[in-house]
Amino acid sequence: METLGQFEQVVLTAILALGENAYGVTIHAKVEDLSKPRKVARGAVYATLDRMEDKGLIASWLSDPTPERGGRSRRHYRVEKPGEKALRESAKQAQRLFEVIAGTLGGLAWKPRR
Amino acid sequence: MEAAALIRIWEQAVERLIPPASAAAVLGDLRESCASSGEYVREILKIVPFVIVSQAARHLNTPVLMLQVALIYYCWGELAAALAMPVLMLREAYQPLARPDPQKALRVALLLAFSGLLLFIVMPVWIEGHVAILFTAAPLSLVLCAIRTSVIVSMDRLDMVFPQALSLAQLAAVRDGFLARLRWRRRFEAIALALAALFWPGLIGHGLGLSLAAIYLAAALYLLNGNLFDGAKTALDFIGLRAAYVEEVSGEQQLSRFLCWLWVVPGLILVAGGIVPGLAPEQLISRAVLALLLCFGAGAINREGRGQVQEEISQLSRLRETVA
Repeated sequence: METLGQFEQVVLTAILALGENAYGVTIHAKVEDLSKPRKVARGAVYATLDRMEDKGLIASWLSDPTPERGGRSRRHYRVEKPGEKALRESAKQAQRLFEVIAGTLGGLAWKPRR
Repeated sequence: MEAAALIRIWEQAVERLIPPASAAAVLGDLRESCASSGEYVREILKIVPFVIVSQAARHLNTPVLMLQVALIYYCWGELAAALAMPVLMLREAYQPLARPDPQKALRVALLLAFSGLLLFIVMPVWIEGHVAILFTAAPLSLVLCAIRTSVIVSMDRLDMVFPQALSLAQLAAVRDGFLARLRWRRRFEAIALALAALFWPGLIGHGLGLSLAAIYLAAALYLLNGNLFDGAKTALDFIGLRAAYVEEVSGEQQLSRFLCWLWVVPGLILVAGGIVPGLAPEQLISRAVLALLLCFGAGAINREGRGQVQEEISQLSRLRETVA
């Protein structure tokens, strides 16, 4: 199974959250939102999308061209089954880390649902 | 000047900087999200390097690159190989989304005939034959144009035109047909490679010939691998199936490019190996012309094939689902 890098996790989560409205502009905005306070270069998002598509984690397709985009199509993205699986695994790992940190340091207000 | 007009000017300026595979999506996104030309320029500067590297990596065919660089090294030395490598990698990033324009293709053929032979003239060891070489360029350019035209015409016959919409079952049937044809072709190619491998040690000499035979046999075994294009991704919805099909079409084209160059390598080794200092001008010319023809033929077939696949992928990316 594919192991995700940290930035890949963020981009995949953004696509998952956006559902049918996941394309370059919205994905970048969501990734910035998820990565706060860090700024994210849009180019890095495009490069990650390409890489994840090559790995079969996401699929893309083109919409009809629209005038507000200068007659250009949107490239829409969707998380595929291997992507979902890898994301679940990453979430489980994050949960384990959270439990160790919360158990050791304490004082973390939020606790994920089991 | 208003911001929208300035953005349009910038768009035209940077359109060629962005690899064609990403251009529409990236420029469309920028048009949609940038309010001022200043913001547009800042964004484009941050995006372009990422996109170029990403597309170069995405379209890079490592075995083909290695073969090409090894051939350049064999024919022209280490400096030429080192210089050619980044150029070849960048060329991958900027591959067009469609087949090359026939007029442009023929112009390139003419240019190549003269510049290719000019390259031999500037090499000091063969200075005696330089006038004769120049005379050869004119008829050679006609031959190259004929090769290019025949490749374009033959590829036009293989055009794959998708309708704007297909049902899931129809798309699955198209893909199954593609995979079935591919399996048969790969089997024939594997047999041909294995048979050819037997001849290289005798023809090329033991060291290089054996290495080449080993590469041919490895390629044949790879093609016979049952897991290659096994069509296992059957339980998919329309988007998943379309993505799998695009991946298979693209993978098949990458493999075809490698095989095409693999068939050219022995010929080039034989031709280039015979070019030595003191060679008679007519022998030099015939060998130089042969080397050019081999490289040009392989290049033309690959360019057309790649353009055709890019067109096919573009059509697939826009394909809509209909209810059967």
